[in-house]
Amino acid sequence: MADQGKETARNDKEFAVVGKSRPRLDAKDKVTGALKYIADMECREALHGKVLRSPYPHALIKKIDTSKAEALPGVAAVVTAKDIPGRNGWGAIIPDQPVVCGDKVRFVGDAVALVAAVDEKTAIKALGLIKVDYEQLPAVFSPVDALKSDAPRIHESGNLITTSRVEKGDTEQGFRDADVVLERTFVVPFLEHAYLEPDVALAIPGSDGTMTVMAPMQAPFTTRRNVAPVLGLPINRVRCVVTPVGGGFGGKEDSPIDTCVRAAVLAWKTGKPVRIEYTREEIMLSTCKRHPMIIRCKFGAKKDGTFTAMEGTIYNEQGAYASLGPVLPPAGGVHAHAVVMLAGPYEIPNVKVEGYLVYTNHPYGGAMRGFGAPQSNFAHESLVDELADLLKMDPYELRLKNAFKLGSKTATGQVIDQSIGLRETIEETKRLFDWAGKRKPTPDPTQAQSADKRTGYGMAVGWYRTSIGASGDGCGVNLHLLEDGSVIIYQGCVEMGQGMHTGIAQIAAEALGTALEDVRVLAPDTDSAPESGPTVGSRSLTLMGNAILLAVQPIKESLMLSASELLDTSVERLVARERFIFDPDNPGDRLALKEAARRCMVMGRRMIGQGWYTPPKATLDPKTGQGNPYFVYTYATQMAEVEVDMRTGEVTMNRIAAAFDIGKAINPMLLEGQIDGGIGMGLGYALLEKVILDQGVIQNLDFKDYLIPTSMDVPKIDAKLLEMHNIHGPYGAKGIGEMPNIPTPAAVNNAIANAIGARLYELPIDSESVWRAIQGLARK
Amino acid sequence: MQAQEIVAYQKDMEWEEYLVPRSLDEALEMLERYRGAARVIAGGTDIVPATRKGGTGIKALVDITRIPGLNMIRLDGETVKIGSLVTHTEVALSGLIRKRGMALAEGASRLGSPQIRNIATVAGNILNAQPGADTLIPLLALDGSVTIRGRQGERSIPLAELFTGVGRTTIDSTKEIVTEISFPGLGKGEASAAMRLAKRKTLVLPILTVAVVIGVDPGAKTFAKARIAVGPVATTPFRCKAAEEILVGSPVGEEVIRKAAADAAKAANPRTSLIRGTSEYRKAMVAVLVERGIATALKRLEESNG
Amino acid sequence: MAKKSVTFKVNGKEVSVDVAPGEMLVDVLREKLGLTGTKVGCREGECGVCSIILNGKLIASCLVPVMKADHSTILTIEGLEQNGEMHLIQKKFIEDGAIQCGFCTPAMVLAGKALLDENPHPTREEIQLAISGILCRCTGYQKIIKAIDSASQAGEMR
Repeated sequence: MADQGKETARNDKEFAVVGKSRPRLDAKDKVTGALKYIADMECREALHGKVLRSPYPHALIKKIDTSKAEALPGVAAVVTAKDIPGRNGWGAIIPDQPVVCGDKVRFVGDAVALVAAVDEKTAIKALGLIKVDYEQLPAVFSPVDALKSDAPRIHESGNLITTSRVEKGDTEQGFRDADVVLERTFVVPFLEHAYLEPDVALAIPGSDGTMTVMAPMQAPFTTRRNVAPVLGLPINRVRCVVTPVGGGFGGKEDSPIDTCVRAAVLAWKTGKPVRIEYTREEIMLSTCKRHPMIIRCKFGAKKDGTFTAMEGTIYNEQGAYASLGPVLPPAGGVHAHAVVMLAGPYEIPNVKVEGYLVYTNHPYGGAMRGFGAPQSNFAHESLVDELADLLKMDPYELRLKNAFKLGSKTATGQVIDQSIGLRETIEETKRLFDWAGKRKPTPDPTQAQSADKRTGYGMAVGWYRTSIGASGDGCGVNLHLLEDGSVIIYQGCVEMGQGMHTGIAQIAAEALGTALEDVRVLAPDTDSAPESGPTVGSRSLTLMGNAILLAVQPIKESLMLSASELLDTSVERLVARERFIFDPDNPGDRLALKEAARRCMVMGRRMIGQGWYTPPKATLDPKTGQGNPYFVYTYATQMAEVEVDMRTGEVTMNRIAAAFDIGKAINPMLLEGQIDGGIGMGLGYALLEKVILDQGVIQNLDFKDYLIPTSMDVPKIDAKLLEMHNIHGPYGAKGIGEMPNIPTPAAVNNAIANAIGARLYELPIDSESVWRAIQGLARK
Repeated sequence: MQAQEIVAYQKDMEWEEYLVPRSLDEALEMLERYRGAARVIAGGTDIVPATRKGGTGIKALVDITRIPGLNMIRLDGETVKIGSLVTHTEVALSGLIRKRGMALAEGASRLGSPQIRNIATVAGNILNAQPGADTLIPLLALDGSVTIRGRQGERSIPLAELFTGVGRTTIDSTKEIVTEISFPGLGKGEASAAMRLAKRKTLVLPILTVAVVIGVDPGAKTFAKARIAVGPVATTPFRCKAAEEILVGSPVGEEVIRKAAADAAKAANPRTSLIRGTSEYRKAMVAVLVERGIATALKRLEESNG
Repeated sequence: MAKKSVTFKVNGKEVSVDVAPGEMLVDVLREKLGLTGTKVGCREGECGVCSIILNGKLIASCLVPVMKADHSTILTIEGLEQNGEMHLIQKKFIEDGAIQCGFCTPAMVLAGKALLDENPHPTREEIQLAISGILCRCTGYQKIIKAIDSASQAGEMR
């Protein structure tokens, strides 16, 4: 990383491309409507695929009769479990989800059969002709119930998937040392990603026995390594092509595996292209969600606010299938992450957290922006805030007292040895928000009730890792400089709106000395992109950026050598910047970079580079939860101002201020976009969103009843970027994608508490729950 | 069952015919021809989602939007008349309706989204007969009526007699067409207000809609008239008649308003809904919104007098 | 089912298509006319990404039977670029970073156009209201509001 170290030390003003708010590269395509998403792509010969789904949450399949469906004119194939050519199972971590269920179904919507037909109408008719005899089984709908000894068994392996722990010091002693101890239980629900672009997959069988699947996906390599065994093919005979992604948020890490394996099986069976398109309702019914959790959280502190101990128990509801919940050693998977995150970004000498990941007969949890951290953060930041009330301390002061600084030890015993700006985000947000000027002490509840409307101010801090904490976390890239100075990047990370392709193009342009416009980043095609890992965990810009810096090195050497020959100047004196190579002491005598590139070609010099970047090794002892699970963290503080209608309980967002330590802003404008959108999503979690289930059946299956924030629901956001250089990041950068939506629910919850003088412990905070808290009424 | 139903939602609708009559008589003749299997479409924002979900048995649509003369908003004497093709946007922006029936303009402005308001008709909202519908509740409080044309001729039905259940009216939509909505325009000493409680700020069905019409005797400063409509608290939109009676004849004051609001809440019977909230909360909110509705209407009266 | 012919003006050009009575406008625009800039998100009029301007009004095309649009004037996102020059609103969306995944972008741009055509100098609240029927999961709406505001500040609307 020698080159990178030198680059990052330079002053911001010296960068030509990095650090600039350049418009995203695909802006024009998107704003003119020219960009084709998969639903816009024509494939006239494609058959229509449809999935027959279980109406029951838990049932045996006694018999399936597909004869009438197969006989229907226009039906090309009907697939049941016996027809799967390879492994009848898929999953991002454990392949426990059947392509089509053979012996039993485990949640309402579980796939029972697949149909391919000439058109949608025929496919739907065929579904109606398939007769399934179910024998209903007792179902279980809560993780606590599922852990009971007499609970119905959902998978053969039992309902408890894994127990994760973080244990440090002696919490019993720690609580004895405390002057104040507070314990609360928090409940958070299933959430829907609600990306606006519906899931579609197109599978095209090759004449050479290969299978191509096209879909908007966040994890093409994960999809590939699932499609291959399902078809009984070696991995090199499956090709995953990522089409433009209309929003992912973690959902499209899992849902494309679903649509692609099913489309691929139908394509394999019929020998024809097959397209599967899920309706919005089908997406809400069957694709992965944010994990619901029941979190017991307990903190102990001295009179002066110093935390002495922390304990937590997490009941993490996995739902019917494993998806991204289980531990991906050592610290990957939603569950491990939630457990590690629960202690918060605070110095606490004694910690004990235990978390259970449990199957239920509900839709299943997958990756959703924050990957366990939003749930844990809501718990610890609401609790710490209430603790501040008990201590009669300003919540700001309590956070500042215990927040990580350089040299702090985390709950897993990791020493924070660089890139730590948490305290700075707390202080900066306080300034931006005018916390001291605006916030009044929390009123007595009876006093609060006398007003018609009350304003409240609350805050929360947060931390989030960059990347996934799994052993296999490598990121590869092939970068080619062409003889006219233009650049192609073959890579596997996905542009889903976050601006990642533009960001890495900026990094490449800066490192090479070209212009942003000269760099073309290809969307992932597993036939040409090297393994890059999934586009998740806020990892892509950082890891792919580093891989690019590695790939650029040999190319840069060739370029500079050629330039030195043409300029008759020694290599050490030359710099490359914005399409020119020159000696800074003699800038007038400059060479067009494309001339140097042409010379490389003529001289047979290497113009291709490959980068394989792996972050510092993740460690986490499975028994004690001690180690260095993630190599760097992003930090944030958010403050919210709310207005509560004291008679209806309605909450109006007035304002949010926030500060983020993001290492280095490669593109500030795109970064702000992530902040705006993430906070918007956080507001949805706080106030609006919940997948409502009744006996395993989702009650709000569409946008009519599953409510995400509209333009009228979001306040003005003031955000500040702080750059605490990350030595492991390209130009000092670290991840941002997920951080913004993490502290928002607690900040809002704490603001509401400040307004009404009563506390809430469950999300979403709708008007009725606020009303109940005001009235002092028990929850329904 | 749900999981089986939703995979059957299709892109194309099951209609066999899409007819565009040029006159009401032609429209009625088309409806008759299909003997119950045809429906009128105006804006389409209710009938399209319903058809997509299947099982409506509708074979033909009769699009009445090209029939002239049905999109006026006018004052006929003291009666405000709204053609059946008038959209929510038009009602929300209408100076006449804002002057003579503000609650209706408010209600219309809150339904759905701008795109839906631009094309959905108030008549359609009434015929959809949801007990908490945004224009229905104000029209009920405004003593509104609908005029219907059938093969036998025209008749007028007060909204108070129109609804028979959730989604059901006394109108036979396979044989009759709404031509006009009307209500006595509010005059001097009268004002109205519509209130809404919902889970987010827009593009959402309400937890509760309330509309209030009041008239105050200027000399005695007593309530001369009171209409309170609320929904959804029953299978049909609901008039809180007992609460109205508490107000009429009483001097205008906070105490009597609170009493009336409490009575309205008592009379209302919303059920507990997983989506909209518990019966307890919804009842309590009836009182709050009725109280605020009356206060808002009184304030408007003051402002127009002052 | 007999096919009928509908005629409308799309992006300034008169077009005739043969359609079945059950076809929806959004699908005819996308599949028969190749105008895929208008998107499908929910088919219920609840997300707004199918929004187009029909006879001067912003409406949800997934709710419109194609035959209802007979003899109408339609503007889709493809109709905003004129002689290779983007509309001012489109330029501001690019400059102000109002685009992320892009799926709601065509609808948002058209909503901006519908607003500014009628109200060239809207307040922030009026902009919020104008786009309130289109869901965006990426941007939190902030930069979309900013871009429409920038366009209104920059002047002459076409």
